Amino acid sequence: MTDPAFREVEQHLDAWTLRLRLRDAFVWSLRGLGAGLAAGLVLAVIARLRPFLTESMLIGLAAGFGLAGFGLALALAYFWPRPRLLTARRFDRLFGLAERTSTALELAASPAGLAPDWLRRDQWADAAAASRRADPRPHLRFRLNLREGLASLAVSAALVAAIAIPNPQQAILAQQIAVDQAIAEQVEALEAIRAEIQTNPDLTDEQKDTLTQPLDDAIAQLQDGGLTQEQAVQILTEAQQQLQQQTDPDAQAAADALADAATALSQNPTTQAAGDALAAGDLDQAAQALSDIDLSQLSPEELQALATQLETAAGQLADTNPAIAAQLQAAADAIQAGDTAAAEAALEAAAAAVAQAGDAAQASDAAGEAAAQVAEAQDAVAQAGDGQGQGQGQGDGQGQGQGDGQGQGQGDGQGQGQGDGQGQGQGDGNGQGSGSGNGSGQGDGQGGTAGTDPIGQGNGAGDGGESTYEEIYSPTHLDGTDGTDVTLDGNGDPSGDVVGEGPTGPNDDGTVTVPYDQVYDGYTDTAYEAIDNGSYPLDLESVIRQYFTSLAP
Amino acid sequence: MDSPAVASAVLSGSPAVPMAGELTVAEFRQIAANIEAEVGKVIVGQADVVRHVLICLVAGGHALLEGVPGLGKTMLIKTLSEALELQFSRIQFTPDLMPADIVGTDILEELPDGRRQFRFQPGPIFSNLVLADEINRATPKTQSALLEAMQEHSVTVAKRTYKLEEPFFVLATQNPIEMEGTYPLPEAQLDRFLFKVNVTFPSSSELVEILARTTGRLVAAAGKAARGAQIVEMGRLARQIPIASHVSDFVARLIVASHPTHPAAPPLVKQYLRYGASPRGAQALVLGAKITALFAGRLNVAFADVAAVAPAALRHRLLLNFEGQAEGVTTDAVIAELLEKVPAESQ
Repeated sequence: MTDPAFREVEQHLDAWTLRLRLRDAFVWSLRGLGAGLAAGLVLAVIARLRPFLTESMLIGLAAGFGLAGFGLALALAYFWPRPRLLTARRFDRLFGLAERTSTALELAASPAGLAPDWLRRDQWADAAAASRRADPRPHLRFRLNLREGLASLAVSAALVAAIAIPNPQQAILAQQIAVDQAIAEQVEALEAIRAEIQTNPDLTDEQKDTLTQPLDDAIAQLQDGGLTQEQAVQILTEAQQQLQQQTDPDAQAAADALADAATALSQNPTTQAAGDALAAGDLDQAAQALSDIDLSQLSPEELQALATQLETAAGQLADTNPAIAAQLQAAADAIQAGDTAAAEAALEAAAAAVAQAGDAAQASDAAGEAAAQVAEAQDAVAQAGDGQGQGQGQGDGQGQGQGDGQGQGQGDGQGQGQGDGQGQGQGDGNGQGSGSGNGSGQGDGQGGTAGTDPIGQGNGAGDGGESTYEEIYSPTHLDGTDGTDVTLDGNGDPSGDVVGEGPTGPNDDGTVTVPYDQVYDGYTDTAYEAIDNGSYPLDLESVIRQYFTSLAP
Repeated sequence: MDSPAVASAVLSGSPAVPMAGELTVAEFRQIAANIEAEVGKVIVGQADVVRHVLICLVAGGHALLEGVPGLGKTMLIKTLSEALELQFSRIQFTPDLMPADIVGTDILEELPDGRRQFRFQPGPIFSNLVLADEINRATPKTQSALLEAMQEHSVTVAKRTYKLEEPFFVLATQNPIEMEGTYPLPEAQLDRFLFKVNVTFPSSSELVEILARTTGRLVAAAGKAARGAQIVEMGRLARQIPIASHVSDFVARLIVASHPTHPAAPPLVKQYLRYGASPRGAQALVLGAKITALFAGRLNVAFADVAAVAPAALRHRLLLNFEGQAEGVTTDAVIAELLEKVPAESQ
């Protein structure tokens, strides 16, 4: 049986230890909360310096850190191991017990005989009496240190401010997220296109491989991650171009010619099936119908009529489908020569050429369709992040233009913002608006005159802008911008003297360019004259004026 | 509480009360209070001095009282001897005092039958309470005559050892300002004193009381307050007082830190001390602290008890170096720094 006095000492120690645990849990949990919020503040500061976390993620993390710090510190402080003897020594110091309780514990743990029992009892009684008198409340207060409280408040206020004050990095981050999302979506779209090609029964395996190769490359590059919007658009553009290159630019003309030839063929009962199939665009069926023609069953009149129809069709296909035309013409010639065997062979060859044309047309169609879908994907990625912030500005303003030279302008202007909200305005204008994305401002007035550089670029608050204008093709200069000006007599005589020759051939882009602002006035005047002459519908007049106004340099 | 401790808390069955002849704590305090009261009848103030001297008596140690002339050092010891039923002797130390004058000597005497023989004539050391007045006036040779008596409680003369009667206390005084013709006690001698007690100048009110008591018609005298056996018994009880392990550890660290070469030594120790306290110093601290706890009615040693006796127990055991002596640093200042810098509990 333990000594009652010693038991009382133990009870006091237990009660004090519980109060100590609760007090420490209270104090440290608040410290943990402050530390967690401080960690959140660090994140918030980083998030203001670089696109790091979205606002919602930041709020969540800060709250999470705060709660984690609170909970962790509370649990640690409460459950922290507190050996009885060490705690007793602490209480001795704290309550001024002159080492009574710690000595009591050591006496209890010491072997019998080290001290006489009466001395032990008296010591425990003395320790119990002193413990009874001790009041832990003034020494173990549930009170937050003022400085720590102020520090926690300051951290909390700074955190709220760091989250609440608009953060320009958020727009960048939002756009990046939108771009990433758009890329992911378009990867799925590309995979869908790829699957569609793979399941197209009209394409050969070779055609499928050829068509899917650009898609596979694009998907692989897009899935690498870490791409900027421009890089993603570039990848899709390359894929689209590769697919576009696989389309046949003359396919439509060939198809139209085949349709015309179908009309001619449909007029003859013998070739009506082939003509109908051609008219329906089913080239395989048309090929089959041509190969099925049995000339031995036809009368000489029917053969003559067939030869005529084949010759007509050959003439219609001569430009667009020379291979088919040649075979049809050979068949017609053979029929007229009475050589039905040669005619049938020629028809077989024509059928094969039609079938081949059909395959090429289908591959071209599939490539064109895929290119169009990739172009849509490209647009989707290019537009990703637009609208994350838009601003509009309108008003009079004054600004500076800067190009190769510098200029100042005054008046009303128009601007467009793009991307991160920084843009270059044309003309000058003070607008209102903020945010990233596309912004536009519109105003009336006259744009400023740039310095040596003919295109002034003004930056203004809220103004959007456009990138530097591309110089456009000017057909009046034959030898470049420094070439000789030639004035044609304009008498319409095609046999006149050749005074110069342009450097371009058919379908070639010219290399002769002039600055945009030098042609703008002429174009505008022409458009306005057309409006005044009533060349345009009245309801389009304002649209046209607005369009040319928006183009003003 | 750990289970072994709880198990140990079950009492072993040894006597629940002090055995016959053993003092209780209350009796201890009563006797001490009686002695202090009797001494207080004669000695005005100097409560700390009286308390420290009493601690030395209870601990069975010796005390060295240092103070300028006229502060009542001799009077205090004489009064203490009056309050205790002990045999008292006083030795006035002078330069020509010889060891034999203290310990005694064999003298030649003639027997009635005409024969002659040597007979040991005990010196004044053969007493329970020896007042060695102005001990630093005797030569080192004579001072060292006390060494064996103080440490072994015995005296050896002419190859014969004589046991001194218990209790045996040496209460010495010395004057710190008269250096001419004095012989500072060697360190070995100093170390044998449990406490070195500084007797300070009384306050003005105490001085008035001193004048009233000493210049009037009636001269105060102390009555008997305790017997020698009781003093011995008080010492036995004091040694039974438990001391917690972390308090013992503090004493050890305090002593270790008093050595200037030790890493834990405070800056003042490193700068001004030549040598630190010996293990006797630790013993003096613990014994003194135990008795101090008993005086407070406590049955355990507290840090405060150690701190209370530390100056008296250590000041004569710390040796200042030349720089310390030149700059007038006192060992009391070093002890204060030690108490301040050495943490109560090891880190």
